[in-house]
Amino acid sequence: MTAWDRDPAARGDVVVDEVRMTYVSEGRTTVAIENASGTVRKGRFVSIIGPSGCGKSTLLDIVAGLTRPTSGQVRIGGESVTSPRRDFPMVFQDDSTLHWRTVLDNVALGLEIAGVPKAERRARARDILGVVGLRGFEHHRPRQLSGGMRQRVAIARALVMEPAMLLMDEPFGALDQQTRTLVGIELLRIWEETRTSVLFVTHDIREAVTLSDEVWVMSRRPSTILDVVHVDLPRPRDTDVLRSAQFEGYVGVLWDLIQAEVASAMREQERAAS
Amino acid sequence: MSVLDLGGIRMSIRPALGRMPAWATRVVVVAALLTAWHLAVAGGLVSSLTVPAPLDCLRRLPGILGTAAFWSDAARSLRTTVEAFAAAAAIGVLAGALLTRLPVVARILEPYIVGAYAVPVVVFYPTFLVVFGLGTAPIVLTAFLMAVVPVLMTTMVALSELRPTHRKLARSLACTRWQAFRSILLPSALPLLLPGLKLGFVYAMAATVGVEFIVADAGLGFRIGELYRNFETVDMYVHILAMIAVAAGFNSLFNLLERVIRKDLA
Ligand SMILES: Nc1ncnc2c1ncn2[C@@H]1O[C@H](COP(=O)(O)OP(=O)(O)OP(=O)(O)O)[C@@H](O)[C@H]1O
Ligand SMILES: [Mg+2]
Repeated sequence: MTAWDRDPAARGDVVVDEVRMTYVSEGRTTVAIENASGTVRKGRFVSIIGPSGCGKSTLLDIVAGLTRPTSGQVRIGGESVTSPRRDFPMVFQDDSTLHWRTVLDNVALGLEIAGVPKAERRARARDILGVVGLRGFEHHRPRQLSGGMRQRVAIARALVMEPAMLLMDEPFGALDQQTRTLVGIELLRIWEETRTSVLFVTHDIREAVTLSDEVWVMSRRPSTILDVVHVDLPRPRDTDVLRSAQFEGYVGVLWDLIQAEVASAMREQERAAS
Repeated sequence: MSVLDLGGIRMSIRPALGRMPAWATRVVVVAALLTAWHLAVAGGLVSSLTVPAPLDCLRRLPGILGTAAFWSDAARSLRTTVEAFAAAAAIGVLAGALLTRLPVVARILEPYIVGAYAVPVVVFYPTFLVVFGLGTAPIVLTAFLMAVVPVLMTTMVALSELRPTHRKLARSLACTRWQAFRSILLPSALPLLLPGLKLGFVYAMAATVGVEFIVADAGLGFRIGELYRNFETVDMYVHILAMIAVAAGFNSLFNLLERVIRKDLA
């Protein structure tokens, strides 16, 4: 039990408590997550980095209540997360906009499912579209938007739920490098405006440092949280901050941590393949 | 630029004749076909005993449309088609959905379902006649069997093409089963589902008329067969043209419905 966990009701902290996840398929047991613990304090931006296949998506699904862990639990406000929660919306790597709906109705989807009356959900969706910089695109269809804009629609659809925590699984993974950087900066601005708790999975160390208050480094399978790096860069993270030696220092620290893990994970995969 | 809809496969065609709107081009095509038909008969290319001139058909049209027999035949064929189609749509979609949820069963049955496409169900019509007697039942059954296969297959394809991300989205929003189906899964399946239903209707109609042609006591197919056997070629062709008009009308109706249902085409 952490100190924050003892006073959970006052804060919307999300506590990952000794989560372990094993998969059994075709008689073989895979330990996806050996043991993961950590706390996302309310209003903090936390990134998870780690080698491919180490269980980042699995951990996010467990936090979201989509997957039940083999043991351990996730708690918010002292309450255990056992099923999907609408205040823990997800943003996915693939385009998840619904092509038959307008941008406005895409953003209002979660509120519609939650039974919010039409006028209210449209008003709220319209407000959020302003926040993500898509005012004026309310009546467009997703196919009329670029990939980066569609991801912003997905972010708006999550934000409109007034999330206790936003879960993002490589949300910019399918975008090209330039778009990715631009949407990343946009997310930084949105987050500094909304200060929602975020758990953000990425492969991109610079992206993690740019956005986060904390970076959790996961080891290769059977994985644990190897280290937590606190990114004490000032906000707003403007160009000066992102070009500072301090920024590069954090990138270097994380790179060193991850390098060894990625290298041995790759060796392991090669061995398994041959 | 206009859009040609071939059972869901949409492709763009450039207006063939200069800058004419597409509908005008279509009228020109029909007029050209009729003219070619007229010239072929008038020029003696085909005997007017086998194929009557279009003008003769046109002259005969009001006479036939004025008879109660024509309308009762049309109503009979249509009712048979609609009954067979309704059953095929309901059972095909349900069975398709069920099989998608039971992948093991689906894998076992797959060769039979695919094989069913190749079976000319019409060969069972005599059996059905013996069992059910002369009436609509054996025709509905035959047409149903023809129509249910494409509906079932497109339903399975449509459901298996659902994006995993969409399913995950539904789960993460804590949708009920009904909400997930109604708001996310069904609309995303419609672009494949609707052409499957359209195909089912076409099959049902073709089977109905075809089977009526063989043995029946009423219906457009039966009438055309009878006129053929009596060498009443003009009347036969009028019935054929009426058939085509009905089929084309239904096709347009389906396209219209598709546009109403599929909000993404708006
Ligand atoms: N449903 C499942 N059944 C069996 N094994 C699974 C399942 N889901 C994930 N795994 C395994 O668990 C491990 C972790 O997978 P996960 O997708 O969480 O990794 P990841 O860190 O998100 O990888 P990536 O960086 O490639 O996205 C992998 O070895 C994967 O093969
Ligand atoms: Mg992943």
